[in-house]
Amino acid sequence: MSRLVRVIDMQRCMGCRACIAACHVENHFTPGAPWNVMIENEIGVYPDVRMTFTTMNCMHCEDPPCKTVCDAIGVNAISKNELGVVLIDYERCIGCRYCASVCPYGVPQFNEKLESLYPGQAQTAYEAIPDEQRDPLHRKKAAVVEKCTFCWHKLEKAVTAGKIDRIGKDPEYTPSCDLVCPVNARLFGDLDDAQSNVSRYIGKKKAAQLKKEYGTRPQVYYVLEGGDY
Amino acid sequence: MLRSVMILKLVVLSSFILSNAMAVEAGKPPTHRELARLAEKIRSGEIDVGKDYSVNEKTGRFHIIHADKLMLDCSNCHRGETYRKDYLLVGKDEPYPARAKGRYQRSVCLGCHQRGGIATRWYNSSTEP
Amino acid sequence: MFFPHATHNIAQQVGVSPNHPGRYGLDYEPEMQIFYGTNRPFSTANAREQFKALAKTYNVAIDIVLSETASMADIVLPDLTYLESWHLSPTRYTPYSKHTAIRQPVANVYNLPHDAYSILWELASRLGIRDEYIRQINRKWKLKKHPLKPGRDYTAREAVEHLWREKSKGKDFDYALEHAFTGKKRPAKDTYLKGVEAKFKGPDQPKMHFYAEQLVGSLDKVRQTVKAQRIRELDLDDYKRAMAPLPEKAHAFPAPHLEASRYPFYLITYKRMYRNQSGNTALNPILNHALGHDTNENFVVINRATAHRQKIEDGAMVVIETRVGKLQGKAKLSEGIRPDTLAVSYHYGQQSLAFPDSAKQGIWINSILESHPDVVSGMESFNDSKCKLYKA
Repeated sequence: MSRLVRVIDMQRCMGCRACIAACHVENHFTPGAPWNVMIENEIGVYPDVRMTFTTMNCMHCEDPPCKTVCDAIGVNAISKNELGVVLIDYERCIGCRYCASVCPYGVPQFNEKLESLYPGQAQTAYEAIPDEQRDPLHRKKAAVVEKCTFCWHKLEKAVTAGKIDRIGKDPEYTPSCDLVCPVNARLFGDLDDAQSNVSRYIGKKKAAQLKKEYGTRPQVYYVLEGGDY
Repeated sequence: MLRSVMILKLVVLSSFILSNAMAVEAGKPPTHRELARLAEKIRSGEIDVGKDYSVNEKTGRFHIIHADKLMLDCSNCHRGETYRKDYLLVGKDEPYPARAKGRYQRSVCLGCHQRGGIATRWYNSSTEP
Repeated sequence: MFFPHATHNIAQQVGVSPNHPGRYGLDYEPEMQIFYGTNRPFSTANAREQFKALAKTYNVAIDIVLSETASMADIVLPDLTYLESWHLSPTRYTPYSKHTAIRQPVANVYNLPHDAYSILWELASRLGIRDEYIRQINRKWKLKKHPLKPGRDYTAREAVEHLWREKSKGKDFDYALEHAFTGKKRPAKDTYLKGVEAKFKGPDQPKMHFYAEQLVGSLDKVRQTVKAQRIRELDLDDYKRAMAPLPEKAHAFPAPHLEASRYPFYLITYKRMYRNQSGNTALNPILNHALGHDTNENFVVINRATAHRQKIEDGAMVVIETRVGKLQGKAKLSEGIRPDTLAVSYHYGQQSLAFPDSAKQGIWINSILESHPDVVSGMESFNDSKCKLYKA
């Protein structure tokens, strides 16, 4: 059994947004529907002031309210798979945005219309890659909801190759955002393995989940400024 | 314009009163017990909230349930025009429709939608220690 | 041309000398300027003066985008990007490692037959100075064991091969094609003191100069050049103050502070990490609007208390006025800046007509920066213009 989690160390993050750039290139970003964002906040009063940087993507909750609400109205477009990854099926999604309404982290992004990367200009060759040459999760559609997939198209390769144990270790089986961090503020791995990098890091640095009051049990952990409680 | 809005409000209000033979006194906020009964009737289909699964404020079930049937005031959920600087929400910088009443904070939903609340459960109990 | 002074070896302010060649000691009118891989006129202080100079000369620009410099050029020669061409790519050493690396082309999207290297080579050949060009390359690139030989042409790949062999001490080029990189860690004794004793210890050996001593020599060079070139467009007192070997009171108060008393704020620039000054990044949609709602324009960063005093709200339009000009920008309130200082990142508000509107957002702060030497380093200053601030 594997339970994949990400750890983001806010004490190390310097806000360069390389993880966001990597996500956007890897996952065929369309304007208005980011899968990974940076929230910057200034703390203190001049001259004692510092910044906090929080990158946010899907938390892949163990009890995802997005899935609960989607199932409740019989649409069943959201699933949680064997590795704990929460995915949206664009073919089933009806664009109601109930999932976006209930997500405490504001993750699901409604792609109102597919806009090109260069505003007002034709699509680039990269954007014009036909659907049949894309992973199903990259077949972007207007008027449906999309979000971070933990780069499932990469993790799935590890499953197919029988190399789940290499997830978070080999670049080809690790989410792209976690690969590019220049200050090693991001880790990805199996929480069910007590010796994994993420398990040890969470324990050592007392990493915590965000917004625990919602009872969603996120699979993304943060080393918070000042520690957890 | 103002007249048509007033008429619409009266129609909505009268349909609410007529369709819900409950002891909800007009002008008074409903009690928890009344809201719970109402919520159950919405879930069972006894009260028709339409089939438009969207957050559209006029035709969508989302606003029909919360604003029309439960008569929650807009300000119950919508709080001002911007989020706090440190508010952790992926879509917080999305452009907001000009006609909307302002941003909403998810914590408002918790009151009713958490396990043990009066509305449909979307959230489990808090996992805070 | 030597003045105004330059920094980073790219002679940033030289470009204004065609405006008044006599005052800069030139006994001729410059007729032509060639630019390679630089958008210098756009990215230096008091930038509009640079454009006046460009308007007076015949210009050639070699670049990968139609930058502001290219838009002022009579001839634009498209260059290959770093993914399309051969380069020695050593990047910077760290104190604890040394390395050599190459880049090789992975594509040639527009089927361009030339890059900047081959354009300059062709130019040298047609001018009949190829062999001298080769000798100068050998000297500049420090090719001692593997020099280019006069009498023949070299492709970019061949030139990179010579560079690789020289820098990697003869390592086979096939290794470079496969691995692109060779490097080694340096032990501490090599890092700090290697060769120092042999060079400096004992009588009659040269002395190691402190920075303060170097300043004395630099000032001498400035004086000699000003005299030899009969330069009149230069305030030697400024340089004397800037290059004084010991700290003076004036160093804490940059020249504009003394002169521009009616301008209460300092205006400094900085670089946001999502862009640098090249037009290439201004055109990249991922780096701009995709990385966040705040990346496609720059802001006027103002201390929160200062802004409150002037009733300026976050996001309001404000005017910054210097002795050179004024601009309108969007205020961003912060606790992270001094109350008497405004900061604007310096690589937004592109002006090239060839750029889309998305690259033109924000303000071109260099157009209102004063051009003068920094009093501490003597280099061109980007951090002490004085300005006024008021609501738009």
